[in-house]
Amino acid sequence: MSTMNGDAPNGAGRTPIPVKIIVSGGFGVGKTTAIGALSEIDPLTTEGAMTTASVGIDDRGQRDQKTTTTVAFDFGRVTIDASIVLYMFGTPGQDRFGFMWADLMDGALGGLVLVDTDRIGDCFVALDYFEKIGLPFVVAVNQFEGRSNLGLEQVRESANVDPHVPVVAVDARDRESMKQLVLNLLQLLLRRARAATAN
Amino acid sequence: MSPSPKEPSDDDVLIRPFLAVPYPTDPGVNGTGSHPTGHSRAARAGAASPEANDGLEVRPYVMTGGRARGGTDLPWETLVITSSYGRTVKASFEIAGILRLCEHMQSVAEVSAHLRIPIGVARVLVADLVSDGRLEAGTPPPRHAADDVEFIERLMQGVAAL
Ligand SMILES: Nc1nc2c(ncn2[C@@H]2O[C@H](COP(=O)(O)OP(=O)(O)O)[C@@H](O)[C@H]2O)c(=O)[nH]1
Ligand SMILES: [Mg+2]
Repeated sequence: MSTMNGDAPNGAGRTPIPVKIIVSGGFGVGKTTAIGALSEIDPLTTEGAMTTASVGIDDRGQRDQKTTTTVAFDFGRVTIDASIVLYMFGTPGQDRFGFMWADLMDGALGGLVLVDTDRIGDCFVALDYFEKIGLPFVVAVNQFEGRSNLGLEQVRESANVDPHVPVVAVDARDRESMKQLVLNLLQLLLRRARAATAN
Repeated sequence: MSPSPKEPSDDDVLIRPFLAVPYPTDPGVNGTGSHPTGHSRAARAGAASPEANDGLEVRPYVMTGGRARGGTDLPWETLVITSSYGRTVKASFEIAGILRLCEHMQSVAEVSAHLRIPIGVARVLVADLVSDGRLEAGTPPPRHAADDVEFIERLMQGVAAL
């Protein structure tokens, strides 16, 4: 297998290190908006097909009916510098797509869980999933310019997350707000990495 | 973390029950999967498996030559670029599309999105093109970058400067 770096003379032309973070939360909470606010490209969509086989015999006497569902993941790209490119992948909030989630999560740095306080329960699946796989995450309450009607402490109580999990307010449409949110996640990662190194 | 039962608050905020909402199931995994990297190996390439492709999904299945998985499981963010060999050699319509797109470096996810190829199929095709030398793979996505203090610091500097 040839690689770009291997072919480059004197180690010149190193290719960037690709990393990713996962943006999750319920439908319409602002995931694609948030990705678009930071991405240097308009958010793209990649689709996966997933098959569910219903075992048994249906009323037409046929066995093993299969249904193919497509699931769409929006994503964006941020060139950090010459050596790092960051991808942000949005996951659909429904738990029935866990199959594709697992595939996507492999190697992810961390997660952002977006919350709409009108439908706070919509983020629970994402919280459960990130906790289960041990992915560090930040809870981000999209303010919808003041429509958000719960304080951050109420969201923390509702989300029932560990005390070390940051719960912050964001405007998903705002680039500076999204930068700050990603920095919040990276600060969390840094604290964890330093703590692990110290031990 | 302990699921300490909470008193209902004054204004009845919905409290997430401790794992009462089932996390997404992961049918391909037999272990407990306490870490992301423990998850996906067995669950890979579902979109490209022959069983997964009834009806609308027949064409991508044909494109992969009927194999369920490539030799490599490429993470979605893996970067690839067309090699000089890939620029000159003849290719089928679909493959030519990938090679043209990747004259500028792309991730596997971008190949999937721009060419409307399901992600599982795109991963198989790209892996094949890397192994036959028509695409060159970039630096592999690091598996444990989140544990690397220096790397995270670099990333923070970069994000702050955006
Ligand atoms: N007014 C307002 N609209 C928003 C905000 N965030 C998202 N939206 C809108 O909410 C809708 C759903 O957002 P989208 O990003 O597609 O949600 P997704 O389903 O989580 O990807 C879109 O029409 C957005 O423009 C916000 O902060 N304020
Ligand atoms: Mg969306």
